[in-house]
Amino acid sequence: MNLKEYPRPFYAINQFCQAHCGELSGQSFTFVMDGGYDYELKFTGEKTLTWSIDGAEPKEAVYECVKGDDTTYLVDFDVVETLNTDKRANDLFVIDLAQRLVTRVYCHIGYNKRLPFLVKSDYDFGAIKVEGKELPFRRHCYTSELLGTNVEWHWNYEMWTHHKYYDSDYYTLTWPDDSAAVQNLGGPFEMLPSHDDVTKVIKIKDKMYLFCLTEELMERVLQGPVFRCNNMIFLQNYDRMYHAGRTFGSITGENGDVVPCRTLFGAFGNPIRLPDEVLYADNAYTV
Amino acid sequence: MNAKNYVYDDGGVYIKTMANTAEQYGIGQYRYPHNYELVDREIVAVADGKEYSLDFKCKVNVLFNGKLVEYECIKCAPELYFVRFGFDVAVIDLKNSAVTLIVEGEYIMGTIKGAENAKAHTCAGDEMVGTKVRWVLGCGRYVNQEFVSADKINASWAPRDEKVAENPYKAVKIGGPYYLVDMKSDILKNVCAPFFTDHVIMLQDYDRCMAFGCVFGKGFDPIMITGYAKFLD
Repeated sequence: MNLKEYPRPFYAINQFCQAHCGELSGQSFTFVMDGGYDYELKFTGEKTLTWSIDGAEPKEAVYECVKGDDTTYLVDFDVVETLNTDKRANDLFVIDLAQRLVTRVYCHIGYNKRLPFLVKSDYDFGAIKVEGKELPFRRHCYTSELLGTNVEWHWNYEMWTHHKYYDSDYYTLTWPDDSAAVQNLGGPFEMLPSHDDVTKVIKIKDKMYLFCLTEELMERVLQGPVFRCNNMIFLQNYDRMYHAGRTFGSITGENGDVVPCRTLFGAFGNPIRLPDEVLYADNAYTV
Repeated sequence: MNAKNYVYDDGGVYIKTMANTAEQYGIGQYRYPHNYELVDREIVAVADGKEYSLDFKCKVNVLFNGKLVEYECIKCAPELYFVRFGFDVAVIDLKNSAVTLIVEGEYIMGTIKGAENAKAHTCAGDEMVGTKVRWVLGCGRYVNQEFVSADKINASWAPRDEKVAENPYKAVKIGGPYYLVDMKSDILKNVCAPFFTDHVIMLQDYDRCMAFGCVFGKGFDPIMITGYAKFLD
């Protein structure tokens, strides 16, 4: 059998994602956060945990976990009491065991009256408390080190896209004509004035970054018809040239209604020389 | 015009780019992070009345039938692990309670001791014939495999696509989209794989279109690999 024809489901950005990692099961962490509220995370099972802020009663959640390298974990979970409401929330942590550091990204929707599906992200940095050891004073940090990087991400066996990191607050998404992105992404993007959107970049360690994008500009312009606002967080490893991450947001469902969008994703990277019309393109959203 | 690359490039200023080809890793560039879920677990496989024990002592060492060996593990799918221990390989399939070992070239297809409804892996026969696939293992580094019969692959390595060799292989059907492919290799020259590569063992997933495995040969340590598929037809 030609295994190209294996009866696989349709994959968009999740074909190359890592298998869920359950190796934190049984471990507990105390994160001392710069925001002023300590955070307790207890991995009670391969997919379950309890979390607690500032000593409050622990709450349960089902988590996902992928790795950026052998000692760096991206863990996220939906806040259970917000599920099936119009104010959903997702908590995400980068747990960096080698440096005993942590980054928290709290994402939530339903805060904007005019655009209720916009995702807002709050960032906090901290350190992992270990009995008998001083807390590290260094932190993961916002960075401009990605500026100038152009990279081709392979998402599935027939779709690859190009990212241009030209500004600390924005990036550009494009794709070549031979990528399935033409069919999978093309239509809605043609309705946009430019392919830029909103980002934050956090340095985790040398050659590892947390690239956080929110499809905010797209939502402001289009509000559909296919893509709605999603927050995508990529733990990018430029040593190995791959990333792993997750989405949190909404998408237009088959019936035209807006439904939650949540998936893990992953991709393999290549350096890329972008065509001049992409490299020098204007960001149509900024003055 | 506010694209900052334009301003910097025009001034001849060097812009650092994080995207790189990671030459230092060779064909191991895309290797996924190690997985430590098996630490503190003992897996005992039974095949033909013999027992084979893999007792994962820590993140580095496994006790195989009483002998302490260094190992690496990559998680390929839920409940499916590719383990290289020393110069040998195990595929641990907890879903089907099956273990396939390749120890000193010998294939051992067993089941996990005491498991109910355990089903050992089987030879794939000619199931893969007709498949033409490229496994991309790093930036510009790949191996092309065309399965031409139940025991022959036409293979070539980047960048010499034209240098096709007919290599013997064995394949084990793990179940579902998963195949364990063990391909022997001729001496390779001016390609991305090491010169003395003599065999490549890959757990190939035709659903996710990814492969996980190890490259063995004389004069170099085994190289763990991860790659993604591009079909050549």
